Amino acid sequence: MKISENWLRQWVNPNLSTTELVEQMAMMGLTIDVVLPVAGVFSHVVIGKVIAAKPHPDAVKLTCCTVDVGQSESLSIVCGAPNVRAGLKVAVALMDAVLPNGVKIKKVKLRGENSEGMICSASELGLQFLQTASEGILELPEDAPIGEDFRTYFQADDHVLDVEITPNRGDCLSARGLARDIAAMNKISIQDVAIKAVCVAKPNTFSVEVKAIDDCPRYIGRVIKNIDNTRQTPFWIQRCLQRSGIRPINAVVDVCNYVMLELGQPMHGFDLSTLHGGLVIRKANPSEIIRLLDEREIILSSEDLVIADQQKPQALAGIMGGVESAVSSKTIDLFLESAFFIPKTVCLSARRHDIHSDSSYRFERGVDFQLPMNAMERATELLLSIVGGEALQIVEVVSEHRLPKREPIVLRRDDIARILGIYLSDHHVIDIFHALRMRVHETTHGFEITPPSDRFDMTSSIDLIEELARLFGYENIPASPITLPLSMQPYSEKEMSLSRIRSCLVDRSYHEAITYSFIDPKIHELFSPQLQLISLKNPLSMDMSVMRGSLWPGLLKAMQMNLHHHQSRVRLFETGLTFEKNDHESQLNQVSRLAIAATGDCYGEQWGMPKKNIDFYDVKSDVLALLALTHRTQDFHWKKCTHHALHPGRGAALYDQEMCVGWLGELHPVIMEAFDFKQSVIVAEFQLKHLQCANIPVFQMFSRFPGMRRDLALIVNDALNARELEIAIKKTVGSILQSVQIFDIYQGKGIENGKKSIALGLTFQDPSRTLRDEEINEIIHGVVSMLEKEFYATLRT
Amino acid sequence: MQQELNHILDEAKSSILISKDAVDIQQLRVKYLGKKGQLTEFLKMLGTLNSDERPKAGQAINQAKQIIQDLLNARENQLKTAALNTRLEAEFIDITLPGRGHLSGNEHPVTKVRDRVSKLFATMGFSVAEGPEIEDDYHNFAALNFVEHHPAKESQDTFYFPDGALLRTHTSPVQIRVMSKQKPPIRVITPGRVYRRDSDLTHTPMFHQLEGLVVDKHCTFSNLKELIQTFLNQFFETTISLRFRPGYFPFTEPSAEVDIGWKTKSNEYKWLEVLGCGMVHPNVLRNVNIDPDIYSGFAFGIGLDRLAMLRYEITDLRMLFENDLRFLGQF
Repeated sequence: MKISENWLRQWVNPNLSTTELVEQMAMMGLTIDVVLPVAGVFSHVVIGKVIAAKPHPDAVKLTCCTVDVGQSESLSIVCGAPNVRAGLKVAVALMDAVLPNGVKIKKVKLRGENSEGMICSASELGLQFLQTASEGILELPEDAPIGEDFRTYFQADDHVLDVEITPNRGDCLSARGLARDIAAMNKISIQDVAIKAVCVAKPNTFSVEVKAIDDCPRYIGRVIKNIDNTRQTPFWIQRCLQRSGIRPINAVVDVCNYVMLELGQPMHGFDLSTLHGGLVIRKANPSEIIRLLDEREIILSSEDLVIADQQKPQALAGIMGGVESAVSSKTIDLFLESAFFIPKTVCLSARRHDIHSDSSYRFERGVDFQLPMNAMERATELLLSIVGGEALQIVEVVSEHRLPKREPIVLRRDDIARILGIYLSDHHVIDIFHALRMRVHETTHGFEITPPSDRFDMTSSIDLIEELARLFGYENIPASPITLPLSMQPYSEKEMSLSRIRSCLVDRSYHEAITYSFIDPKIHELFSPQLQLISLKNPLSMDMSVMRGSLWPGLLKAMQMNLHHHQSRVRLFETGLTFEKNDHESQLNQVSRLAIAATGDCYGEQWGMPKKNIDFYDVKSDVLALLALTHRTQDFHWKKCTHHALHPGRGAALYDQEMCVGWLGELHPVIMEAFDFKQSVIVAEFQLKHLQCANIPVFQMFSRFPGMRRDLALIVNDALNARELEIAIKKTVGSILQSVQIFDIYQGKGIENGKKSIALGLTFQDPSRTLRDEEINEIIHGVVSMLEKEFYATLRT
Repeated sequence: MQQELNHILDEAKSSILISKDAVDIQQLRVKYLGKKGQLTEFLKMLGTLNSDERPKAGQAINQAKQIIQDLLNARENQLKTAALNTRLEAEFIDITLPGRGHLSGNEHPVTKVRDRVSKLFATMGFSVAEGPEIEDDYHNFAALNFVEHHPAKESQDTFYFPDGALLRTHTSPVQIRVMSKQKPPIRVITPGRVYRRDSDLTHTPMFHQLEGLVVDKHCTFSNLKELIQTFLNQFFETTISLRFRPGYFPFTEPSAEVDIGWKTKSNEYKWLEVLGCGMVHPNVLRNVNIDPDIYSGFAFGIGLDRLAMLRYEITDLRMLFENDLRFLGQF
């Protein structure tokens, strides 16, 4: 809420500078986002009246003015503004005046005509918060006193405080509300406005019926007849409105807004001549239509509360009036409304139609239900003094027992220290509550506190404790260390930390990325067509509208962006949740995953190393390094796979025993094209749970006898995979086979098409003795004949 | 004979002196000391001498043999050292060339901060809890004392799904999940991704939060102040000036916004809001069947992205999620 500091200080004026006041308000929970001066720095600017204005003889756009500035002689001023005219009250910079932009006013000749000053525009004076319609020079109200210093008149030394008011403090959404809180903090009293009931002779003739009394337990209205709404709203009211960011419109509307800002009561005026019969406060009929003040036409629901005449709704209660019954400068008879609407009703309606106004903002947060009568009297008094007319008696419909209750809240003395950790004397506690206008009753164990009607946030003892802390000052509560019993936390070696996995990848030249969890549905379809789309109801944009089923889209988008920035080598990983639902009925799974995406040179450009584009096996080795951390590599194996996003011949699925836990492979050419990738991209994605599940290593005694190695070069079918070969050899040899090392794969010259040469190093070792050459030779012989038989392998010669 | 020996010795000395390498040395060794070497020949002649001459002659020959032996060894060592020195002189590399192999990558700054904060709290006995990111209204709002149709709930800018589920707007739902399962004393932190429907210079629709929760008997606001101060001092490794301001969160009361006094790059001193905290609201404790008349607790929520920006002097929040290598490579 924006408010003029000067206005606030008329209500309560603690002995604090602007900076100190702002600091104090922040420490009370009324944070001030910005403090803006309402005007620039200038001097020697006074109010003047243009007595005569005639065209410049020598320049089309200039006007030669005679301006009365309250001195013995009027000034000749040449003015270039299109809106300058005789009779206008203006701000005149006299000789030697210095304007905010540094310009110093001197006597000059403009195309031969003397100019002894300058008529200023709002921007030349650095004036803020003026919602003036006209371009050009500033037009002042007719009653502006000629010759008065403009700074004083305008209150140019004022500041606008933009106060951030938390949703629980609806009571602070007015000058009086803020003043009350500041007064309580400084233990001073406020200068309250004296509300006088206007003396009224004539009884009310206009009928008001409240049908929806649960939603509107108090409705107050008043007819004022024969007003002249063409009269100008006094400058002081306009100033307050403008400094709160509200545009002056006409006297009736301005006064309604002013009373709202002053006391916190939103009010509404209807042009009585547009109403058909008396008013009914009721729920809308389904599909009734209302055209609002902002010209929006909305279709109402039966949950909306409306102020209707005998024909149709004329206002959406507490939110906005209808355009047809709106008060204009031509309005002669007025019906003024001041009511208490239930916060929830207003909140629901405002949300349903997405209409938010100063009025709904206040009603949603709770408006003092005892305020409508006073607000009505205040508004009537102001209006009669501006637009004249005759007020009829007030009409009030109220259901007292439906109004919110303010019952005593029990506050246990011990709870204050138990929650805050400080001791406050009873005397101190009572003082604070009294300052907050609460009724206090002392009991054996503490207090019974009754909050005032404007405090909607005081419902339980913790609310009262918070008020004690707030008024005592958070800064005055000492910090003291907590003491808790020492208790050791479990720290399992069977659960590998995510940070160890991240370190492993970082050390292997990967950068960690963090990408958004929502992606473009088209991209989702490319990667996870088997999954149900999980779409947001209210996404920020289409390309961030569905929850990711894989981390790849995000990583590949990041890769694409980096490639565009001429980074030819990109290696990224991310950990995070994917969101998976196989069909409509199935449960939503939020799975923690790790994904890798890599492209470009395997090691980056380095001297003495041939360039080598990354391939499947490079990333596989990184993955194997991760698997090795678990100490259960024997549980994992790879199977050839078909994944939508992977090249069908160059992809693998990782199995943890019988369960598929992830994928590794070259990106499918179709997706390569979608991302406009020109170089091959290797991706991998795994369920983190399986990478984090580790075994505790168990020491195995190793053989102290020497191992013996024999190398075999075989020619086999191209399609034969290494693992099959390895398993068959291990099975044939048995336990003395220590390892099978593949040290070369060759295809090309000398090898028949459809075949490949594979070179194996077999190491044999016995735990209890040195092996003899002859037995190894015999074993090798057996292996070779098995390979010939099972795999049609031949020895390469 | 002595004369002959002397002659051989002289000749050997000069030959050894001019020998150039191991081959020369070997030849000389054969020439003088080999099976048919000159001195060996002398030894063979000993038998022809009479018995009183023999010991003296033998001694002389052996002495000569020893001298040559020593000279040969010394020369051999000298040549070896010289050869090694020559080789070492020739063998040099440019040690300023870069190393080869994998260059190391980098952790994301938000992860670094998250780990750092987690470790700091772990030293105080806090354990880590995590929860789902697609949440239900109960855990994200209702259980946390958000009232339906109240502006507090509206102000959260929530992303919703058609079935009423939502993306969690804070990690506070994890508090509810923890407290529903675990009874006091509770000391837990809950780092994670959170989402709000907001995107501009200083807001991204996804960001990171870390919440802390302590529930026990005798937990006070005073304790909360101490913990936050200690944490921020340790995190920034300096004494940080703090300001606790009254704030409002439905799930804590009293609530506070915490500002830190921060010197900006332009040497301007500013209060920066870094975290929110407060005493767990009795309604929240009741919702998880913890008796608020016996137990009290406090909670705090920190924006990890904001913390990373302050720690590493990152000037643009949005960079955190652009994943530009020129950015990622710096941490």
